[in-house]
Amino acid sequence: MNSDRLAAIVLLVICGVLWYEVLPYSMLASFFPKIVLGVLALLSLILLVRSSIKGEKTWLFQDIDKKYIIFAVVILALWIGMIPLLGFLISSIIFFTMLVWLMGKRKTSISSILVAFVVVCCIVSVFYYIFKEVLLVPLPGGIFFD
Amino acid sequence: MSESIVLALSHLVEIENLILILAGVTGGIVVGALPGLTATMAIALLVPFTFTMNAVNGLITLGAIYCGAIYGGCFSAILIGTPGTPSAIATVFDGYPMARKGEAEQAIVTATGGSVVGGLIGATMLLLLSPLLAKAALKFGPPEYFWMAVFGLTIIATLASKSILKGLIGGAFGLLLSTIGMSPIAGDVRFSFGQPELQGGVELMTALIGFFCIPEILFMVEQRAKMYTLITYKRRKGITSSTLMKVIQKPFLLIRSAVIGAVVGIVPGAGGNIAALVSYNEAVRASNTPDEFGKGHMDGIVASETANNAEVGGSLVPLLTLGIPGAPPAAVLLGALLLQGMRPGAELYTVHAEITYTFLFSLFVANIFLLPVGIYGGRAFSRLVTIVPMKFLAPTVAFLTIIGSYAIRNNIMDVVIMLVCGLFGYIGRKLGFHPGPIVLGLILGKICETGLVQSVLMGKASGSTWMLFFGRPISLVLIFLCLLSALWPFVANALKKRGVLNLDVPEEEGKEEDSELG
Repeated sequence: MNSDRLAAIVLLVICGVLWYEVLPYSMLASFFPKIVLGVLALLSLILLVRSSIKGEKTWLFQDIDKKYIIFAVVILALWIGMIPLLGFLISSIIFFTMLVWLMGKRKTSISSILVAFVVVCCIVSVFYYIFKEVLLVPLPGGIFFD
Repeated sequence: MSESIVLALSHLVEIENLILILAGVTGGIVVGALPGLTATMAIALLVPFTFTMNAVNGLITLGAIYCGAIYGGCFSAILIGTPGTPSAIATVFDGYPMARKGEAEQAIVTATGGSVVGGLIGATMLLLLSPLLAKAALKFGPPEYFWMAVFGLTIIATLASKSILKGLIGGAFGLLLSTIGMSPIAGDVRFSFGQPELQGGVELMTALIGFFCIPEILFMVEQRAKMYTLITYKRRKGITSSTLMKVIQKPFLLIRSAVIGAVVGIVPGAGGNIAALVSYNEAVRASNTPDEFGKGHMDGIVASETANNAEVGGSLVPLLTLGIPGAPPAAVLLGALLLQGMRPGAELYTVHAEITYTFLFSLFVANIFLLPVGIYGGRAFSRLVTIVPMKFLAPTVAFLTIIGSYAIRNNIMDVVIMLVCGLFGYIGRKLGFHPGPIVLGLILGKICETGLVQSVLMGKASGSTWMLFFGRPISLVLIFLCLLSALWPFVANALKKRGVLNLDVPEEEGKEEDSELG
């Protein structure tokens, strides 16, 4: 299956699901979404037809190392997910360091991780201070600081 | 009115504001100069720092960042052959060969001179055109706003993507995103799927940070091991002034490039990269020595850099008057403007005239600041490109996206929405759907829906919906523009066959051109 066809099918499914969601809305609220859904479905259908005529056999993550992207996304998701629990400061230091480690060379020595950790602590503390004290954004403290 | 202009000028000479402009320009140049960090990202990442500032300080800082970031792209374009921001794409064509010939300093000074002149002409056009357009916009009724939004969407779909179909799908998807939350006329809550956080809809700034920053972070992860070789240069006596003289002696080239840049900027959605490419091609066509281009010709750098900085002013014309961003970085500025409680339109030039004019004048100052900052700080900025390790850059950007999207409403759910938008954006980019049309759809959705539903209601009341949509003079002009932009790809193809128009970019730059991030 080429990527265009997959995209078209996913979009059509989204249109179908949202169409049912729209049905009970009042006329004024559903008027515009219905038109947009119709247009989007029509365009997706054209994409579907076109992809079967001249299908590009490109696949999403053909020439890149999928592993790293998946790790990066997981780290980002955990980073955000852990903020309410661990607090902004601790969560950022942990997952920021992990991202630095991911971006680095395959074989990382303990000392380079330590250096990264120190740099990360500095960056995070500086921005934490700016946002919390200067810009007065109430950053979550988590279970340790609340 | 004249009173607010005087007040605006007096704000401008306040030392605090001058420092903010200087800081904004410098910060913008730094982010713009780093490959992988685009001008749009620069603004998106730095907007949160302006939340607690007052409107004047916040806006002039962001305007300065915008000017600086677009200009900053030239450093990596010239010294490592990779545009630091997509706008600098055409600067690579002649800037990099020039640097390799040992004329790096001349190239940088040329780019600086061109940027300053372009930026000033763009800002002048903004100052002259936007109040007029804002006045004209007062005549816009709901049908006109509807057609305006449709025009914005058709034009970005045709300009910003390689595939028109995918551009249109992106735009429609953006429209769909805009319908999440409270309906503007009826007040029903739509597509919230029981999540109270979604009742207010997708916050524009959150989506912008997600769509423009997260994909770039993941691209940096993809290219983890990439190293750049920098061409270094030393400042030599006399080069700066002699090069600047040479630049000034090309008035036709400067003015033509600046006008092209500003006009492309005004067109919704088409960013600095398109401005620079069009201007570059026109410079080649008008030149007596077209063969010299691409081998390190000064005119090539002037054409590209003048146009992309003129685009800054141009892109703000439709933004400030109609609420339609002329380029992706302007979309982020819209987010910032709305957060400051300022709605684009005639109100900016009447109720908020003092703030608006201070902002407009600050763009002149910012562009003038480019000259000393670029020339004296140039070597430091170019070193940054290689000194800042990629392995810290991507995580730092990630950190700023998280803290920034949280700071908008102090809400962790916004951060989650930001990440989801970002992942959509990343996968979309891989599939050939660019964030430009999606974001424009999200912005135009509200304008489009309000215009459409109000028009239908008005039509019902007056008895003729048809006449309301197709019978009003301004609407007719807008419909004509919609058709023109929808048919443009076919016109462009025909022109290309005759060799009149050439927007093709050499292969290696193809990927960057795709990114259309301004």
